[in-house]
Amino acid sequence: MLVASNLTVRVGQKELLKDVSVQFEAGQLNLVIGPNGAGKSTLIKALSGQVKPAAGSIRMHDRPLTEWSLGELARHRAVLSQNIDLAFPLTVQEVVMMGRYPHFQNKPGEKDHLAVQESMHYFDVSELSGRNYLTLSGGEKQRVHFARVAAQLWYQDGDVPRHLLLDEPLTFLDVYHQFQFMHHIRELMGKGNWVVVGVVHDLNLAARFGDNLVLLHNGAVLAQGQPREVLTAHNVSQAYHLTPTVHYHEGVLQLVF
Amino acid sequence: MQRPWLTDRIVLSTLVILLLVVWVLSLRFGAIAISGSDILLSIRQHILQEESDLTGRIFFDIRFPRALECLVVGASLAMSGVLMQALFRNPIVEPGLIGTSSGAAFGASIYFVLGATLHFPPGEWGLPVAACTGGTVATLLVFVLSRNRQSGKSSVISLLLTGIAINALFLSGVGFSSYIARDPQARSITFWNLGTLSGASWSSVTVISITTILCALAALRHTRQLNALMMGEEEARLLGVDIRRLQWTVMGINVLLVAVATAFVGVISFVGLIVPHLLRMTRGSDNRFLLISSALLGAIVVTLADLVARLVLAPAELPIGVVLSLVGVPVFIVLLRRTQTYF
Repeated sequence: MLVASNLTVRVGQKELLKDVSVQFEAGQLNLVIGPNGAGKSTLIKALSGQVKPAAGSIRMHDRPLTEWSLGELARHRAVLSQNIDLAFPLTVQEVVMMGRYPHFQNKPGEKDHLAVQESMHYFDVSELSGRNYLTLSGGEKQRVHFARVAAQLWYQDGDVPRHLLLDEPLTFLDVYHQFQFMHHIRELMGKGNWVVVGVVHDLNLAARFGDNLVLLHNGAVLAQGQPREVLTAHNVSQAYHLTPTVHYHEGVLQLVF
Repeated sequence: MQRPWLTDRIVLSTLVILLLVVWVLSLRFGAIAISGSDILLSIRQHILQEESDLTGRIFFDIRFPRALECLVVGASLAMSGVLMQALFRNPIVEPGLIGTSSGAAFGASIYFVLGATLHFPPGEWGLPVAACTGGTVATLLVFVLSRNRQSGKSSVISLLLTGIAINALFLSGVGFSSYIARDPQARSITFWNLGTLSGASWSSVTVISITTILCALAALRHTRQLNALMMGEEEARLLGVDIRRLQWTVMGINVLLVAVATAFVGVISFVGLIVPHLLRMTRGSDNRFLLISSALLGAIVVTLADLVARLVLAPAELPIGVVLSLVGVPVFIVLLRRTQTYF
């Protein structure tokens, strides 16, 4: 479980997050939504420890985030950031292997090779294995990073849940790969003890796949809970200044603007 | 120009074969040519501790240590290029960019001038110690001055800009030293600034070899962290890398590699720039591969350049820095124009 209590993040005079309290449980797909500048990425960065909060605290697996060492964190928590690029050419396989770096000392073990192979297969990038990462398309690069963060959590010891933080994982993906990715994440979560928090922009996708939604607006939580509680016409129009009509198609909530 | 990359094994075995060929050539040729049988004879005489003739002594006391010194100097300069480029995530970073070379040059020039004026006993270690001190001081200055006061971090851009300023300062110091120096000292400062392996001896080979090997082993332990750094500092931290510690360690290794080599052979540029470039084109940028192969190719390049330096004006010699610049600059410009995808 990943819990943020009364989190405030400041950059200079500007408050990016104001007194945010949220709770992300294992086994649920937690999705963070909200308009541009609402503080979604800041929340992910605070949860991953990349940004230090001015006030409030974060607990990961019932331990304050500040008590985890860098290495420990890297073994139990993977983060997919936005706009990652490489300064130098590497093969796709070498990029995915980076996910295993926290797990071995000098040479990758059998488990590490297996994790790389399996996660590459899982996210459909096996045939890119020997390609130069820098020559891939945006969508291909994104899938390589899926495989990398999956490999990071693929095999691990102990009963600490795997924490996966995704900052806008669906950018650069076509509709097919967006759905494919959401299905894959759900499938992974079914296999073990995962805490997944993702930022998405597409509200209908959030409604369809999310178990628990957090709607941020101006750095504060506007609503959180199940999709039908969060994605009401009232909440959405308050956050986005657009009033949708809410439909249900075969039990799935749909917003039409 | 997407060609499939070669495998590690092909690249490394090619380099080993090339190195052997070049190295045997550099043992054979120079101011005088020494035949293969003379080489074997000289080695046998030395092992059996027999009296050897002039050719034998030229080989064993001059040619052999010089050929060995080419290997270790080339390896250490090329490896330091790999380390710096990985640390700054920029393929055009040169080892001398963060002040190490200019600091070492300044230390050495001070040694030449003051040593002659104050008549302190120079000893065998005076020059290397002076150069190392200068290199360390300059590098520390760059590192400390470029640190942001609030966050305590050094950004790449501020490091590079501070490096330019400190380099300018120390190079003008070198200029001042040679301005106030008397003729013979000024000459040795000049020669030393252009680089030469003519001073190679068994003792200098030993010192450089020991530091190069220790630094190489230390560097190999950090290749994974340096790979992770390719994605940026934030991402590397998310993979468990302690960035601050990595920076200090790699900087330390780099100062040792560059300053010790510079102390004995003077300023030799372009090796750390060109060698990793060429290798990236064959097999990508995995830092473990790059370190090992750069050590080999760096040794090849310096051995070859030294051979040319010895042969062109034989029996006189060119400074190796001149040879490397004449060959290195065009190669570098061609590389820049061809591989713009890296920038």
